[in-house]
Amino acid sequence: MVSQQEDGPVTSSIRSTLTDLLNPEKLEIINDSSKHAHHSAMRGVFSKETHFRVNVVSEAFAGKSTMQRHRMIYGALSKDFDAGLHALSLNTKTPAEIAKANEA
Amino acid sequence: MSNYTVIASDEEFAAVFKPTTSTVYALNFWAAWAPPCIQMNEVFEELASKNSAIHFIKIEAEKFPDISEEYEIAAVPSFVIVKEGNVVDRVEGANAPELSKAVAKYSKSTSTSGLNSAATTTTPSVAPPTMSPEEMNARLKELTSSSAVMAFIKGTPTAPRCQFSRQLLEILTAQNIRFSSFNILADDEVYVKGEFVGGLDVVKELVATGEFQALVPAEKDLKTRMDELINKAPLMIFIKGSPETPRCGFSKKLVALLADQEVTYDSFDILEDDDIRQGLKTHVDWPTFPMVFFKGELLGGLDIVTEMVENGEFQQVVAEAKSPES
Repeated sequence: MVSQQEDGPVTSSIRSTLTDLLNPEKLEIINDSSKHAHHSAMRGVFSKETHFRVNVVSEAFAGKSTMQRHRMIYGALSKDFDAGLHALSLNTKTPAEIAKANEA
Repeated sequence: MSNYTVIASDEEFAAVFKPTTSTVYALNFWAAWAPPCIQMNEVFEELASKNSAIHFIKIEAEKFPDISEEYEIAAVPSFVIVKEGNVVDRVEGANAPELSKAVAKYSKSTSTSGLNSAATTTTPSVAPPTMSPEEMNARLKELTSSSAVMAFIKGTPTAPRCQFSRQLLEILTAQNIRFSSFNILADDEVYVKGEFVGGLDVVKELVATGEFQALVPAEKDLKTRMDELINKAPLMIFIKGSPETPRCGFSKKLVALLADQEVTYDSFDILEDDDIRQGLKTHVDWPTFPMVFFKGELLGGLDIVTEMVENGEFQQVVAEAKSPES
């Protein structure tokens, strides 16, 4: 698959960390930063990689509650949070859960 | 001053900034619309006048995006110390003591006077003859622990007697920090919240009757405050803003979700208190807001609570919280 634009540093960091951690079947990282760039909380911040949505499907989530799945990801990305990552929306599913949802 | 430049162009920067020489450079990245920068610019200038061995360069970050990017400036104010081509120190935010420390570390000048001592606590140089060391220590301990932030300054918040004290006070006020101050020029005077409480005799008496402690709000330590807040109500949310005026899209969605569910809850505005905001993240090991707690336990953020509502889990969990109204 050809990516339309190069990943910025934060995006690549997220991508490589989560790929290593979860060996995902599917990993989508959507950069929503521009939607928040003009918010007062973002004043003085020049990074274009502050707010992300991450949709990930991985067997590594099996048997884990949503909270645990989120903690796995947050834990792995703690350095990114320290470095300016501001918000992360997560959707975490196992392949089985996706299949089940598709059946319905 | 020859060691202080406000750059107006990239060419000027190139002419002034020669990192490969032995000169140490202090770079100030600022923006006019950020009030903390204005305070720190004054501090920066002051440091320049006191540290002739370092070249201070003031850079308006948004006008020079390439330079800002090169030094990975993510927010203003930010300060970078460069020595022999390497970034040897960075100070992020309006932190005058940190900046002074960083500059002092790399300054060859022996006379870095004034600025370092202004923001630190100093014991009064002359103890009144009536006070023993034990009494002195007890009094100091009482004062320093009476407020989360205690500033020992020359003068009072309304009448500072030295420009470093004045700058410190301006910074504290601008940052909306609650603080108490102690006037080191007049050992016999105790000021709490800028108000003259009295001399030593008066203070001793007030301490004895417990009135002094009542004057100064007892600051619980952060951990206690956080635990109390988390348990303030069975369903407790930490958001940006208030339920009536949420100040972030995610907080807004959470409030709407809970309104839909018709549950009772209490909330805390993390924008009002940065100690709680940062402390909570470490305390519960969760990096984002909003946060939702039930009976003192973190349920999660917006994503998780949304999911819980969708699959019915949330309704089960909070059924216990709905007060049995008659």
